[in-house]
Formats: sequence, structure tokens, C-alpha cells
Amino acid sequence: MTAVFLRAPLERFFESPALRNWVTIFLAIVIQALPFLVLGVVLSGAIAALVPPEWLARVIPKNPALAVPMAGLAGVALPGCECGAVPIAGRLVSRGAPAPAALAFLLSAPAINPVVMVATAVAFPGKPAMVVARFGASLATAVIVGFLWTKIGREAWVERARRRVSHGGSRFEMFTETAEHDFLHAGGFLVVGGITAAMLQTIVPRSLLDSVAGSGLLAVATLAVLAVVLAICSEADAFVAAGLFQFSFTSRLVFLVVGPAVDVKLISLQVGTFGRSFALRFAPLTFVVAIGTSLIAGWLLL
Amino acid sequence: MKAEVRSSISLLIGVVTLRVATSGLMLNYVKLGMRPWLLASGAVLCFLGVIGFLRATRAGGDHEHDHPPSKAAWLLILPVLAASLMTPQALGTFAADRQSNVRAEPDADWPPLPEPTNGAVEMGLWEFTDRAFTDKNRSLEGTTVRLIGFVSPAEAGSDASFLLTRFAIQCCAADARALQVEIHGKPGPRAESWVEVTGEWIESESPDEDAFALPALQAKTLVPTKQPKVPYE
Repeated sequence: MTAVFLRAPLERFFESPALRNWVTIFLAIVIQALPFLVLGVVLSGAIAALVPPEWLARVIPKNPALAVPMAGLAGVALPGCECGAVPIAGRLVSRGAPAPAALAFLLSAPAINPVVMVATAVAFPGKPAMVVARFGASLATAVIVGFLWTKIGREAWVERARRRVSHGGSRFEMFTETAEHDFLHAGGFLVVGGITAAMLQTIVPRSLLDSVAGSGLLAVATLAVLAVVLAICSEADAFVAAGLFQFSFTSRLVFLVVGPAVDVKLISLQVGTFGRSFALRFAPLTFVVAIGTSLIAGWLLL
Repeated sequence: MKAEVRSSISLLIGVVTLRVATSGLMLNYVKLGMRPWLLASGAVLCFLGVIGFLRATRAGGDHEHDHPPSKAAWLLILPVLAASLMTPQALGTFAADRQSNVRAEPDADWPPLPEPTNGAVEMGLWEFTDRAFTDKNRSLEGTTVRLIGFVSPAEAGSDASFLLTRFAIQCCAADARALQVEIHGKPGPRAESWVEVTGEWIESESPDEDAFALPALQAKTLVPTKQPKVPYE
């Protein structure tokens, strides 16, 4: 009601082209991400309803040397945007999965699933090494971060996800309540991520890229930061990277490996699901490891 | 946050998603291919919202298992507000002005152009730009083409009348890339308005000098037109 009454005066206020640009990009990010988020929370609800508590802790090998790579490879099975992986990983943790395995899955699922691999192959025709390099570097990132987490990760940081209680009742009740709960929770943080990414895109002109394209390490650093700021879905970032042809293949690989692992949208979702102290450590760690693996993969393969 | 309110939000998002997906609104933001996904997720959200609402009212408003999903859930109202308070629009000149345009090398083998319809070959801006820059067969030479885009002001100091612009998206408006062609010979109407231009490609005399130059077209006719249903290429 209020929206209808306020519309005319507010529309005048909202005439500014920068603001409209911001809103268009913001809505685009939210609309694009929404189906994947819904898919993620539906699966998360299914996990809550069908997987008995502590079952995962029994089934996943205790030895992280086995659990982490297994979980990393399991990422192949979940096609979709990174938005879906966060609620699922959170739910796995609440069901007793060891944190390093869940986090390895969190990182690998958006990056190595078949949809992303096909998209990368299509975007870089004649350069199949790009697909191999992306798969290898992303899986390596997931596994390395998982292993590092066994050393330096503290349970306290994933407490928030651990503590998440499922609602009682029948399986159907648990499924619908969990799915809705996760959607509302993650959705709010997706909005924050979308607003931030849209704002950064509106403020920073793309032409800034041209000045750094040629210069080696600066190009790598720029694309790594761009991947974080742009928050593009992993299905489409291959085409965006293909368009950045003033940059070397290796720096574009960095863009493709960093993007699904850490970006503004993801950080926001992780804060929501795992908590701020988690995100504060996880994001920079992932960022650095992702750059490292993609530089090595680029050096070896591209 | 009470359970009824929460479920109302889910239902609201579901309904808005369905509306965005079934009307043409979604095309301002994402690609047509997203429609089935948006319809499915909208339906799921409506379902969850309705079930949650019924459950909450039946329980009489007192839910011991009430673990609210945190205040963040309120933020979901923002996209709904934004979509309802601001007339939805595709990306325009603001974004186009901030793009970078860098050329690739002319080494591609483009197939010959199709037959003209009504005196000109219909073409998307992507194809025109790409052929202009990369086609070593120079298929555009001497042919009249028809392009559709919106008007963007030309750079200060350039002798073009205006820039014909359209965005190409891969995933959603967030990754949009502006495709621009300099139009010479006909004055440009109001910025942001959509036009259909026919004309011939102006080949650059010194293609190597300016890596950022845009392809150019000498306009023969210029007709205002409406924004196409799918604004992005």
C-alpha cells in the first residue's frame, strides 16, 4: 500500500542513472541466483529430513587424508551456482560432517560440476587446456583449504552452523521448515551480496582494466580482485573471462578459479551460515590458495 | 519474527518471482533460458510459504520450536521494493559509458553474409562488431546492413553523431558488455531511445593505430523503434 502511494515522489528521487544502474544490476544478480539458492535449500531440507544426525560423522572417513579429497570430488555431483552450495554445506556440518570435508565440498561444488566444465569448454574453443587447468586448480584449492582447515580450523568458527537445530516433527515438516528457514536466512545475505556487488560495479569503471592488462602480476591481482567484486555465477564466468582477451590466459584462469571460491555474494552467504569469525578467516585463506593453485596450473598447462 | 510473517515473506518472494518470470520483466535482468528455473523456484517458494503460513496459524501462534532465521530475512523485502518502486529497465547509457572496448586481431574466417531483406542485411551488433574487427574476408565491405540498438552520446571530440549501443549478456545483467557502433551521417535522437539504422560499414584507414576504436557505420536511414522484448543480445 505504502509503496503505491510513495511511488510518484520516490520515482523522481530515483531518477539518478547511477542508482538505476545499481538497481538493475542488483536485481539481475538476485534473480539469477534465486533458482540456485532455492535448489540448495531444497537439498538442504532433504538432508535435514532424511539424514539422521551424526550419520555423516560415522560414514565419512575419520582420516582427513581420505575425507577431504572425497568431499572435494563429490562436488562434481552438484551442478549449479555457488549460492546453492553454502546452505548445503552448512546443513552437512549441522548433521555432523567434519568441517574440513564440508568446506572442501563447499569450494569444489560450484567450480568443478559438469555445467561449469562444459561452459568453460564452449567459451574457450581450441583451448581445452583451460578446462583441465580450471578443474585441477579448483579441486586443488578445495582440497588444500580442507587440509589447511584440519590444521588451523577451530570448531568454534563453525559453531554457528553446528548449533543449527532442525525442527522436530514428521519428515515432511522437517523438510519444509528447514528449506524455508534456510531460504529466508541465506536469501537475506544474498541480497546484501547483490547490493555490494552492484554498487562496486556501478562505481568502478571497466576501462580501469585496460591500464593493467599487460603487466604480469598486476594483471593477475586485478582479475583476482575483479572476480571477488563481480560475483558472477560460475556457469557464466567462463564467457566473461573469454571476453577479457587483453589479459593472458593465466590471469584469466585466476579469475575463473577465484570467482566460485570467494566473492562478495559468497562471503555474505558464509557470514550468514557460518558466522563472521568464520568468513573473516575462510575468505582470505581461500583467496590466497586459489590464486596460488591457478598460477601453478597456468604455469604448467597454459 | 513471527512464523506467519516469515512465511508471508516466502510467499511474497515466490509470487514476485512468478510474476517476473511470466511477464517480460525478467528479460531486463537475465536470459530467456532462466524462465523455467524461475517458474520452478517461484512455485517452490509459494508452496513453502503457504504451508508455513497454514502451519503457523494452526499452531495458534505459539511455536516452541521457533528458531527465527535472523533479521537478515527482512532484507528480502528490498528486491521486491526495488522492483515495485522503480520502473524496471534494462541497462542503459550509464553502463555503456563505462565500458572498455578492445579489439582482437583480424584473423577469423567468417562465412559470407546472408541475403538482404528489404534492401539491407539484418544483423546483431555483436556480429557486426566482430565481423568489422576480425573478419579477414571483409564480408561487410560494400553491403548495407540493418542494426538495432539504443542511442548513446558519442565521445566529446569524435565526429560521430552518436553511438548505437546494445548490451550482450552471458549470464545476467551483472556481466553485461556494451557493444557500440559509431554512427555517422544522421543526427542522433534522444539518448536511451531505440532506433533502427541501415547503412554501410566505414572501414578504418589505420586499423592498427587505435586499439580502442569502435567500428563505424555511414547511416542511410534511421527509424525510431521500440525496445525489443529481449533487450540484450
